[in-house]
Order: sequence, then structure tokens, then C-alpha cells
Amino acid sequence: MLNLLKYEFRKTLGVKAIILVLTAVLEIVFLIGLYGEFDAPLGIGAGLLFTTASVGVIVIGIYSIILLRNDLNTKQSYMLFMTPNNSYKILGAKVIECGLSIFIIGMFFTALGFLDLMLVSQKFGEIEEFFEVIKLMFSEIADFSASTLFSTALSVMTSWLFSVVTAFFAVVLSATFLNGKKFNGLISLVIFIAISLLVGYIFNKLPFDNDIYDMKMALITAGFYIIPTVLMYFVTAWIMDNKLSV
Amino acid sequence: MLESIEITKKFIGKTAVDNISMKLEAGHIYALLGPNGSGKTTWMKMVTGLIKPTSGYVMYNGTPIGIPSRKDIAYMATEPYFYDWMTIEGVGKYYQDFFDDFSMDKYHMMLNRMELDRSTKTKTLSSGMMAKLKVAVTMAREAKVYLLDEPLNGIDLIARDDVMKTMIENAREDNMLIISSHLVEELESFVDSAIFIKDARLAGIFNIEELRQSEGLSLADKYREIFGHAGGEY
Amino acid sequence: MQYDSKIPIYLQVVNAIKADIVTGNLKCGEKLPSGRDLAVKYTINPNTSARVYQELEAQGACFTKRGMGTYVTEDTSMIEKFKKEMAQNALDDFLMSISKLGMSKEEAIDLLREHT
Repeated sequence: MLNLLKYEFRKTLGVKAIILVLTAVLEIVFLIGLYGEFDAPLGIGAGLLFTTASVGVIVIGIYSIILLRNDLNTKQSYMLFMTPNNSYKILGAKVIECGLSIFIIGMFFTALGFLDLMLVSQKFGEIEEFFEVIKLMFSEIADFSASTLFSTALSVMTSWLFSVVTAFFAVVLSATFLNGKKFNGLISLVIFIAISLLVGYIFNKLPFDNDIYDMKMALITAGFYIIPTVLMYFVTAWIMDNKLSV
Repeated sequence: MLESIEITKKFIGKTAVDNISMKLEAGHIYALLGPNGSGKTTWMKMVTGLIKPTSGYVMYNGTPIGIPSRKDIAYMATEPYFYDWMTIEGVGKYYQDFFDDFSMDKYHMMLNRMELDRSTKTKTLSSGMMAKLKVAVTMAREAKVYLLDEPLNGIDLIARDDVMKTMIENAREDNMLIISSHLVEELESFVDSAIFIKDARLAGIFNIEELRQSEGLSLADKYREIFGHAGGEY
Repeated sequence: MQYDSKIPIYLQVVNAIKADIVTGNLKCGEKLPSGRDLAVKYTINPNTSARVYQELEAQGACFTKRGMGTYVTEDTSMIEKFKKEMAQNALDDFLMSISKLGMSKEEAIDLLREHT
């Protein structure tokens, strides 16, 4: 299992390196802007950093989906499926790698964003005031604190991991039963959307008090999305072991 | 022992393997012969477990093939299948990570003899070098069944000699080699049995020395007899 | 080695090794390669190597020391016998070709004398 994980990590190394290098460059631009007191780099750096953070986590998820597609539909599939590993391990390594990457990169960006905000407020000397303003802004809908910020990040990452595993399921389904048929890409997209909508619908029907978004609510969201994620993982691996031809 | 029992694979609009039953024993080098598209590759992939049969099954030492049998069954595909970012050394490490029967020393020895540089990236290899690498990494496993799909296809004479030597060297009493080819002459001297696949079906298994001794026929003669145009004269 | 694919491979290898013994490429009492090495050298099946040595041994061209391997015979009269046998075969082939041309044995002998 560790070996599988090692190679999954190796396969995604390139895209992660690009994201990290881009982040480092933008962070430098941001810091130059901040301490050199150039408004333009400060604004651009901050804006692009925020974009990279949001897009980066999504890119890592999408890249995992593309990788799985290649690992099922190209000759490289033999590399995985001729080894004495069952699909629970093969898929498990992919899910864990993707989950860990999303988690680590997500937390990294959250922490970096937090740090940058602190630097900004420190630079302009009104750190307390800054947080007061933010708290005031969000008090109507959420309880703003570091713990809420991080648990919200966690819930976003968990629901994103759910989306990735749903996509894994759709990709495997398409490779197994629709291989070579017309519209198989479209059909797997429809399956993906249908499952996402269904799970979202169930979540909204749950009897939780949604008025205030606090840490408790964030953790409930994270906990909820783990269930269909795990379920989907087992079903997908079973299909791969018993029905899939590569 | 490997047993193929009424195994069939249907793809959309085409039967690739049609009801093939046969028993193969250790201590032999088999040639799996038939024109392109006759079902050799599909049959091999079903034995490896890469393709799930439509019906029928494969038994290895009395149990149906599955994940555990992959420890003993080594498959080499015709097409290159290594990851683009791998070096020749990296390919060996990958096999070492996943196959207990892989020997890095044996692999290095074969690479040296075939004059392959360990640090070369696999995506830059010529077809002859790739053919040698695939055979080296596959035969560096101490497997019980080797399934080699077209190992001599499209490579020059020198590479072919290297590949054939490597295969012969690793044939033992307790293992079997199954080598597919649509070219017959190059296998003629060292395989002992020939399996003919015609239009997805088994057309016969022959001991080749016996063919020569009792019928005065070469493997190529038998191939022509089975696959030639019936009654056609030139 | 080039094989005639219609003739059993083991016989062709047996003849090749006997020829090596007669011409002195293989010396009296010299150790022969292991079955596997022989298979690699001649591009033949390892099972065929075993049969080659069986046949060579049956004909008296070599002998096996238990656990040591196979050696070329030390009996020089055997080697003479093989030489004669092979010469005989070559003559048979020659006369066969000559008779196909419609020549008699005597004409062939005359031709041989003139041949330089």
C-alpha cells in the first residue's frame, strides 16, 4: 500500500510543483508590494494568491481524476493492474493521496492566507481593529474565529474530496461498462452530476439549524460528506476488481 | 499448471476469444501462433486478469486466477507501458517494489549484457531497446508463468538474438514460457510446443520436434496448413 | 546456427557437435557446456539440449561424470569412426546429386580427378 501511495505521489509531483512555484512567486510579489509600499503588486499579488489557492485545490482534484482515467484507459493501466494488489488498495492509494494532498495544500493556503492577513494588519498597525471589522461584517451569518476558519476549510475540503471520489466512480463506471461506446464521457458526467445533486439534496433535508454557520456546523458538514465518500469508494473498488477490463 | 476452461471474450460486435480450452504444463516453451487479431493478446490478458472473460475461466494450480496468482504470472505487453517519467533503473525499482520474485541483480546483469544504460529515460528508447528492456524486466522475475506478447516484433537482428537468449536462459523445469507471435520462423528452433489460434478459436496444439520427426513438417509448414487459403494455388 | 526446420533440431545439433569433435574444435576429454548454456549457444529449447546429450552419449561421442557435467569422449577410435561416417554422408550427398544429373559413378570419379 505504501508503495502504491509512493507512486501515486510521484505521478502528481509535477502539478504540485507548478502550484507551489507559482505560489512562491506570487507571495514574493505580494511581500515586495507590502513592504516596498507599491500598491499595484500588493493588490495583484494578493488577488492572484487568493485565486491560486482556490484553483490549486481544485486543480489537484481534477488532476487526480485525469490520472485515474489514464490509469484505466491507456497502456499504463498494466503497470497497476498486473501487480498483485487488489483494487481496494489501488483505488485507496489514489483516494488517500488525493485527500492528503487536498488537505495539506488546503491547510497550507489557509495558513498562508491567515499569515498574510496578519502581516497586512500589522503593517498598517491596526490588527485588533481589523479583526473587529471582519467579525462585525460576518456576525450576522457566521461566528468568525480561527477555529471556524479552519473547520470551514476542512468541510470545504471534505466535500471536495467527495466530489473527486464521485468522479472516480463515474470514470470507473464509464471505463467498465461504456468502454468504446458513444457518449461515454457525457454519460459519466451526467452520473457525476446526478450523484452530487442527490447527496446535496439529502444534506439539505437533514434537520440541522443552518441559520448560524459556526464550527459545529462546519464539522457536521465534514462528517456528513465522509459517509457517501467511503461508500462510493467501496462500490468503485468492487466494480474494478470484478468487472473492469483494462 | 495453467488451465484455460471454455474461456470466451466478446467485445461489442466481435468475439475475440471463442471457447478456448487447454492445459499447459511447466517445463515447456509454448509458441502462441496466429495472425494479427486472432485473439492471442486477449487470451493472455485474461490469464493475467487484466481482462475479465465473458464466460469460462482460467485455473492456475487448481485455483481460479485472481490477485494472488499475479505473484506467479508475469505478463509482458507488446506496447510500451511504462510511465513516461521513468528511467530504466526506475522501471526495475518499480518491479522490485511490487514483485517479491524480482531480482535487481539479475536485472542489472541483463541490462549490462544488452548494453542498456540504466539512467536512460524510457520515453527516449528506440523500439529495439524498448523490446530488450521489457523482456529484461519481465524475465528478472522468478515467475512460474511468463506470458510474452510479441517479444520479437519490429526489432533488429541483434536485439532479437539478445531477447531470444534471455528467454531461453530463464526457461526451467518448474516454469513455462508462452510466447506469442505472428511470425513463425524466429521461434522455430527453441519453442517445443505450438498453440494455434485461428479466428478466436483453438486450432490445435502440437509438439514441434514430433511434427518434424513423424511428418517431416516444419512449424512454418504446419502454420501454412492451418492458416493458408484452402485449396488456393499460386 | 542455421537450421533446416523440417529436420528434428536435436539431430542437427548432434551432428554439429560431432563435426566440432572431428575437426578438433572440441578436444578429446573437453568439458561440454551445461544443458542451459548449450540451449543458449544454439538457440534451442533446454529440453532439446538434454536430448542432444542423451543422443551423443548413446553414440559414444561423449560421457557424463556424475555431478560434474558432460565431456567429449577420450576414445580416438570413436573420432575416426565419426570422421568416416561423415565422409560417407558427404559422398552419399555428392553421388545423389551426380546421379540426378544422369552421370555414372565412373564419370563422377573422372571429374573428381580433373577437379583442382
